[in-house]
Amino acid sequence: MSNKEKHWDKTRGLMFITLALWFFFGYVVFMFGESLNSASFLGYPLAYYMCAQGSLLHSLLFCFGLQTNRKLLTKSLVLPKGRTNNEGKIYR
Amino acid sequence: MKGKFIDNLPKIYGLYTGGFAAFIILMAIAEQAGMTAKTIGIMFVAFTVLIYALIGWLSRTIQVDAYYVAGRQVPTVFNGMATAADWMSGASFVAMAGGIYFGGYTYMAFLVGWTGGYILVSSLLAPYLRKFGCYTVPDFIGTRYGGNLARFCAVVVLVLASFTYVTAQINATGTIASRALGVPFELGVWVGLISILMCSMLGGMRAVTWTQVAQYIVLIVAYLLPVFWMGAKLGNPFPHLMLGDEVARLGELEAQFGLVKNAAADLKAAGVPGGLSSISNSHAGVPAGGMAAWKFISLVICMMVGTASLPHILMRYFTTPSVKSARKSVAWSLFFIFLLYSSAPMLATLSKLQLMDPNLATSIIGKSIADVQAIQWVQDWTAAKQVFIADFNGDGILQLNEWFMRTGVVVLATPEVAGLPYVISGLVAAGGMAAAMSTADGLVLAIANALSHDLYFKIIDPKADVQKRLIVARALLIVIGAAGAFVASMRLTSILGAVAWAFDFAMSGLFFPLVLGVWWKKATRQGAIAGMIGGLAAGTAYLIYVGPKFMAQTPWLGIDHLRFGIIGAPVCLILMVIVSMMTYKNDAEAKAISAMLDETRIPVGKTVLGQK
Repeated sequence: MSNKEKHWDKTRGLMFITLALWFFFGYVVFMFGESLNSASFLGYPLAYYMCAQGSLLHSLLFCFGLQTNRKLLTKSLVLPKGRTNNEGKIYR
Repeated sequence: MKGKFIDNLPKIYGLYTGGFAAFIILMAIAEQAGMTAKTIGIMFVAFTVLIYALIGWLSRTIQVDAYYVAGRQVPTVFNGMATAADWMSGASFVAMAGGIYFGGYTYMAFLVGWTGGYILVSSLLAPYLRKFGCYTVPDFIGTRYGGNLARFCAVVVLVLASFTYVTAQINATGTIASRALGVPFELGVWVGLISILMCSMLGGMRAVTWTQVAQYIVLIVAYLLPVFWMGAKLGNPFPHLMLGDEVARLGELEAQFGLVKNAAADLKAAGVPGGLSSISNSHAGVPAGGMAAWKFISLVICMMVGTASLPHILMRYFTTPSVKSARKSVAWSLFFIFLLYSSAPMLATLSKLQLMDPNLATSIIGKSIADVQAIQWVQDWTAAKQVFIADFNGDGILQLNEWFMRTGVVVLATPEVAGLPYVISGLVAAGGMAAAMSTADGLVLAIANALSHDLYFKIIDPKADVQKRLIVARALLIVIGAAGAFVASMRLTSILGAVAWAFDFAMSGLFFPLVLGVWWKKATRQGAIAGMIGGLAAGTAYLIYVGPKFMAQTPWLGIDHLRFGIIGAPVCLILMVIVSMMTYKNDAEAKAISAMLDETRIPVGKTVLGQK
């Protein structure tokens, strides 16, 4: 398997993990909204907190994490020294 | 000189922010010196709009790359700010907190949906579309699947979704302009349109990018300042972390006053103007039952998937210098969006408490109606038909279900309700104007670019020279803007209804052709065309079936007109998969597409289109 194939393989695997987490924080949590609300976080009812901040924070942190992860993956697999980015500049 | 501008961005926008702060202070001093509220409102809107127009003029360009994709050199963080302004429309700014105010937990599905969608953008689409190197979204569809018909279908979906959206934005600019400048709504719409065109006409994407950054700064200051100010007044300097008690207190007050749904006949008899609502939903309580949970979740699905298919958002990631920065820029976009969205529920909580808690001097619920009607801001907004009091039980005391407000008024009136100086109200009006203008700019540009690049240049006249293409693009900008303003001045749907429709149209027709175009090599042209036409047709047919202004039939499984994408997108997926499997042939064309996609999936190197 070439490095490019490995890169795509890992990317695809990561995509499924991403979608699973996305599904959990976007949907599964709110399927149980009624029972979650009896618990509390920071003094807020939990389901209320999740849709006011929790799910939003997950998306935000996840997007930053995803880009770091992908940057490292690119560096380790598809980027032999001196490769350039889209516009021909040296990839930093 | 251009390179210098990009290098100096933090300094330039730092100066701009400082200047804006100085302007706010100047207005505050002027207010103390006796300047009237009306003049302050006019000054705020006029000053900010003039600044945007100036930026638009300074960014004028005659280069195709600069006009369509801002020269592909917008730095990550600035592109994040521009995307956030592009994204947060007049509806987010003006109606979001108001929606939470009246709808409570149920309405917050929009918050979850409008942020979670960016995970899809970041992992499924943005980096690949950037690597592809297209100018517009239909450009990707047209090149990936080949053929003018596929391109044309994508243009149709794009125009339908974006045009629905843009009428809502022009409507919002018109509302704000008419109120701040004191002109009729119909005239306000055209004032709004001219301001929008001044930003985008001369410089296309480049001008829109730099005005959007400026607009983001205005709108976020305008949104956060009142939230923190009110929070501090109530002893919570960090409202986002500290409002647990306030939310609980709202629950107590709701129990005390009672949440009553008024009968339609009562509303009619009392003469409550249409579009005004009273608080009848619990703020933090989750409605019981599986159906309520499904309604929440189905709305989240529509908003998330719609986010990942809206062309005016996707095209913002065509402007970054590299694939890596496109992905990073998605994260920054979400950061800037989060600042506003996480504040909306706090604004709603604080604003509601101010009206409801009898321990606060600002409260009106439970007081005598004669006293309430003597309050200055109640009189002002009643005269503007945005607020209404109906004494249903005739006891002379204002009950919770007797107090009516228009959703949009919550944000605009909150500074006055909380007794903040008028300069804050002027600032909020300028922020609302910035939010609506920035989104309208992005949308009008997305439509005009698709028509000029994909329809005119790629399909009708592939030999047209650069100058002619840009003239066509600008002429289209004016025509589309004028058409949008014309439709907006008829006020067909509410702002929020139109926004949700745009998401549903986009997800019905574009989501799967885009995603499968990157992730599934065996997706064929025929499959994509069938999916786009079938998905859009199914979604639209369902909208007509349930739409309250159309056939108004009972929705199936609670899928109402705000959620018709739930019908359209699966139809699109199924048709696309079946037709693709029937028509896929392992021929030379399929091999070329496979090679092209292999290249698209590598995050470094020249763009796919640039290699040709």
